[in-house]
Amino acid sequence: MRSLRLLLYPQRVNLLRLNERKYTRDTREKRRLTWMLLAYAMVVLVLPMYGFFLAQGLYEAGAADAMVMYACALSAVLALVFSVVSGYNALFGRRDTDFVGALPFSQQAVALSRLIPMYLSALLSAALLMAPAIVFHLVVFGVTPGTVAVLVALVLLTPMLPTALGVLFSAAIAWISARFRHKSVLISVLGVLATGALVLSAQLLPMRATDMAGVRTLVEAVRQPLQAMYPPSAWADAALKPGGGVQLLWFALVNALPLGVAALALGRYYFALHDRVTIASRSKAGARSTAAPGTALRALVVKELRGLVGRPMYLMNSCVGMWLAPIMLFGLPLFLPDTQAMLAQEPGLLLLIKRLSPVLLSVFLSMWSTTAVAVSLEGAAAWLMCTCPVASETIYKSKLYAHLVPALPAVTLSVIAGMGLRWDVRFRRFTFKNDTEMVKQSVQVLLTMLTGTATLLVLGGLIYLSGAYATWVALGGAAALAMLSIVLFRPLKNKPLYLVD
Amino acid sequence: MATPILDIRGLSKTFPGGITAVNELSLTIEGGDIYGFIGKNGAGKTTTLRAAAGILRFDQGDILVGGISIKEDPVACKRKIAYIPDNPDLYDYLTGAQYLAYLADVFEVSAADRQARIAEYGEALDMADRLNDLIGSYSHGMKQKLAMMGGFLHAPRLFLMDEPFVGLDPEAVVRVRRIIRDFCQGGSAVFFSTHILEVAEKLCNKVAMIKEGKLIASGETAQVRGDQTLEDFFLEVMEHA
Ligand SMILES: Nc1ncnc2c1ncn2[C@@H]1O[C@H](COP(=O)(O)OP(=O)(O)OP(=O)(O)O)[C@@H](O)[C@H]1O
Ligand SMILES: [Mg+2]
Repeated sequence: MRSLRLLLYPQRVNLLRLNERKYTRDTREKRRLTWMLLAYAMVVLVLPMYGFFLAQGLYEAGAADAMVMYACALSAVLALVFSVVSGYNALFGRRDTDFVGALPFSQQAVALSRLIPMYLSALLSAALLMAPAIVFHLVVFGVTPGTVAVLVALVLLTPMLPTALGVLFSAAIAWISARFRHKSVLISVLGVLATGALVLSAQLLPMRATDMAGVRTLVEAVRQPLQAMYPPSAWADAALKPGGGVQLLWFALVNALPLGVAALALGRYYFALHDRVTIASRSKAGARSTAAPGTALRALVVKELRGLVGRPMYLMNSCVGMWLAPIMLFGLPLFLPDTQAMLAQEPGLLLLIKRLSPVLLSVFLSMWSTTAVAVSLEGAAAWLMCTCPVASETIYKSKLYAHLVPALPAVTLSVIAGMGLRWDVRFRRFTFKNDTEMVKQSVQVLLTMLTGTATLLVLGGLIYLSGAYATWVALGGAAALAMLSIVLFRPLKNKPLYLVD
Repeated sequence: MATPILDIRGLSKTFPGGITAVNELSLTIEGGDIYGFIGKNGAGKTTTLRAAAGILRFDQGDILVGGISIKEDPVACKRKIAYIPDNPDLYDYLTGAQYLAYLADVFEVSAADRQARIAEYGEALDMADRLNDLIGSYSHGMKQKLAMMGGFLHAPRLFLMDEPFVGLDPEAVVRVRRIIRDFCQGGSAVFFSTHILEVAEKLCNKVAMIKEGKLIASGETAQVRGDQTLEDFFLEVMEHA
């Protein structure tokens, strides 16, 4: 216990970066960290909001008894995503492993000190998401000590299995990262497959939920496949009904056991695993000739692209979704027999989709921009960039060009890239420990997302209001945005780039 | 004979990909020794030090700290060790004082001791008035000094230091040397890698030379170099061994 408490101290004391905020003498940094806190608060608000809509929808549809079950299943998925990212960070991405390894702590304590924050962050996300459903449940079915106990147990248990799986997946990702030259391509492909499977399975469900009766049918139709895919949800469901004690036990077992195994395994093999996973074997490829000379800009762009390809987590976090989401959401479903039949019946719908698709696409694309940390991404090697004998404009350009490539479907929306770059030049920070942390904790990413979304909501509103002229307004809007991106980029021309201002 | 503080027996380490960084290296360090570790870049110094600190698994051989195998009871060994890496990567988000308090807790230093030592070494290394700043705002040398203070703080039996003098100002070098000597007079031992042969010659009572993972010379400094300077001996040995 003592060693655990000590090992967790550095993370605990700087939770939400409060320690840095308290002790920094840099007032600009202090302000930045305050903004960061606000951004966190907003993110934290989003989860219970989702949970609320879910619970309310189900309640209105007369499926109040299924609220907790669905919230539980959704939390498990969310917790899994959280655990993979935070697991990669906590287990294999930290720079303090040498330092901590040389301290007199048992391997078990070190492993636990990394596993516990993983579980706690998954628990936090699950609790936030499930809270509204729980409140609804208690209001509808009454508050008894028994129900409260079961609900608390469900919240505590739900993130356990995902955390255990997160350990497994993050180890796999780290292992791949350390070994393959084109690791991000591999991880992207895996990501595409996973997302594809998710979207497809969602599309295969009957999707005619236009009124509350429809929602009710949908809820019932989803229940079966959901419980087949994630059996614990059935047990959670049954645990809330009279005589569900055995099911609760099953639920507890299926969640606690894997986490226990993960904890024991990490406790025994964490350092060995860490070494295996992170010490790269020497690349077999011999030195390739890079004789062909080029311009400085070209060299910078190539370096930038290599950087993009070489950081799987970064790509996953801020880039793959960019072209993946629209393809999956709008491209694939159109080819499904159900959708095609529906479109044949209602030609008006097709027209509407056609008209709105640029906006829908834009909305998705606008939510990401890789440029929002393109400058900060240089991290500890930033001095290299800053000492380059080229104008800082050239550096910004190299970032913009390279980072437009993953956004190729949205070239007209380069405004987002330009915006991201400007925010990042303003808020850049080279002290990130790894690229995941950078994406997750940057004000500039959040700002880019918000401004991007806002811009496109305005455009979408205009298109919506313009009725028959919608296509022209959309085209005009795209052109205007392209112009805007130039306007946005222009001021960077004369903005010198310093390591520290 | 007393139990040596560090006893490296036939240590070998091969990295995945086939580089054998250390090859059957044996070395004994006793209480009071200031042991210099010399070799070219990539010779295997850091690898040896990391193995001795218990942060690197090794394939063959054993390492005993105060008679205890680091493989069998790593925690007991680590309690006696202070390891200072070549690149002081500390927690940028803690203040110097928070970091030292953390280490004092980890090594169970009594309240009186920690106060006295932080005051003493903070004064000696000219860090006292910066301890309430974030480590992220320190210079390289200041981080290095703080890492060393963290080491001195728990009065270890064995210091393992990787190029400890790189980046320190001349005054700090003198002060650190003095502190190290005091520790060794009290029965502790220091094992450190260095590229500065004058330092090794002046400070170390013993030196070891490593080439491509193999120990090629070790023992009392005076005996190792014979009647040459350490520099001449080093150049000669690197060429012919
Ligand atoms: N994590 C690692 N993965 C693979 N090979 C490694 C790793 N660390 C070190 N090596 C290899 O082991 C050999 C010895 O490296 P080591 O760091 O011990 O050298 P060193 O003597 O400390 O050199 P320097 O004086 O440059 O610090 C080198 O060939 C190096 O490439
Ligand atoms: Mg070294």
